[in-house]
Amino acid sequence: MRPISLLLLFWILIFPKEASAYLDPGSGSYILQILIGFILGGLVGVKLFWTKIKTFLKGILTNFFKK
Amino acid sequence: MIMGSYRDPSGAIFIKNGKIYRSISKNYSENYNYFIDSGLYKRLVQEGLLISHLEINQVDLEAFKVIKPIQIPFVSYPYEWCFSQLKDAALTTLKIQKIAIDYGMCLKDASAFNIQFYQGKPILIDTLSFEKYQEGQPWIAYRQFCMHFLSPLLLMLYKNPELNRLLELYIDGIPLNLVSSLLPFRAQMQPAVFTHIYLHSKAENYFGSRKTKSTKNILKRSGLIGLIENLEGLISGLRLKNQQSLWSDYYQKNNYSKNSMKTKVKIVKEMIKRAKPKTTWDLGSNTGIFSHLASKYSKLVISMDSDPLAVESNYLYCQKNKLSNCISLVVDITNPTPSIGWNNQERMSLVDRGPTDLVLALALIHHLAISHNISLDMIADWLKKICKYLIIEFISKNDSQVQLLLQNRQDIFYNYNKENFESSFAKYFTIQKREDIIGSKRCIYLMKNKY
Repeated sequence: MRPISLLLLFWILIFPKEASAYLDPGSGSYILQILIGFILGGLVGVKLFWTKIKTFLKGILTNFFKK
Repeated sequence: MIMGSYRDPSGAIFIKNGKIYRSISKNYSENYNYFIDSGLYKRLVQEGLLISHLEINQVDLEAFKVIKPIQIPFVSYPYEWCFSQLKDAALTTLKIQKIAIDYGMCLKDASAFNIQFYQGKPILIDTLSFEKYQEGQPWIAYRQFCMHFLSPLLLMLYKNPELNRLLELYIDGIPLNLVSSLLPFRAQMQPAVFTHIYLHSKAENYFGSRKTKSTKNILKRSGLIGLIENLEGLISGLRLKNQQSLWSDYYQKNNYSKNSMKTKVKIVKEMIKRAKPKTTWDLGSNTGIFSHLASKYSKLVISMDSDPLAVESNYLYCQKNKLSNCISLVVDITNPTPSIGWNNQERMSLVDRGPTDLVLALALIHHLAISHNISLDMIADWLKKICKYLIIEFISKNDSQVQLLLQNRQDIFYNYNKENFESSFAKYFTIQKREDIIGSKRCIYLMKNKY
């Protein structure tokens, strides 16, 4: 299957509900957003996860040195 | 109704007794109430990101509410901004979008025309740009943001800083396929540019002509935030290299000695004080030395120059030195900003935004007369339309700068002399003061419009 067909299939599955906005968001823009949002959203998750781990480790180290 | 506000049915702008009001449609009432009650309005106003307003007693019975926003003293357009102005406006839009998401709302449009420069900072002027955010909903204004902000910024950076003028031609934003075809390969190879411009334009072309079927919303909130942060990172990293333009070293290269320059500053300062302007337009402002001087005696100064790098330098200077009453714009006086858009009424021409109390036209007239063959009569006739007072410098033909303009062409400017200059301007202006700049072949006049 050509990559563009995969993209098309993905788009048919995920295309969002009609919005009542006055601006035409553009179908292509919607699909692209969903694709990059999927990737970047993952990165945001990883970033959040790392921040939590860092805070956790910092807490442990601070407690350790206090003792 | 003001023509520029016809697109969004959430409300309309109208003018009453010279003041600007915004009526809010009944169909926007839910979003407006949520916008106020959620605290988003308060937060954005506190951070200086949104224009504040007062709800006023109903003057429009058809409307849900009528608000009176703070009056913006001078409206400018994105095709008049330099690179850093457009960049700051873009980052402001993204910042607002991020805050809005925190409050359960999002920007339903991201037009560069919704941003104005007020007190030295970019500010959103469209109070009705927000709607309730539904989890899963993609950003409806993503394409508009790319066309209004990202596209011109990339073209200015990678091709030519003058290309913001394309927004004048494409009032709805520069088409992505056009940007994609103009950007060099090295720009498109950056992952974020590749995605937001190249891939975006391809997706637009491919899916634009195909029938779509709605199913469900799927862009997670974290994905939306990731998208905004990605755009933010890309735009923050765009930096115009230090380029030297024709005008950026003008003050070092011209024939003013230190003393002559001092004298010129003193003369202009005294004349500005005498004119007591509230608003000043500095035409051919270059990097803005005289605009900065005028900003001490004038509530608002609009510096205009056709060189985007000179305007860039002026804007950065004003930011650094907190000259919040100075707006620098890219305007070519020989072809001033026209009125454009639907019925030629959506965006105002430069002249429509006047008149101003004072015009500074220093070291300008020889360029108009000799480089552009505009007669002294025509210059006087135009200037009388835009100002009450005029401080204008006449540079005689034997000045080295004028000689430079004439070096490769035949001197056909038989009427270009001080006597004709004075008689042309005397038709419309009263000459109140005339001062020779000692040590140069230049003379400065303070004139008052007769009409």
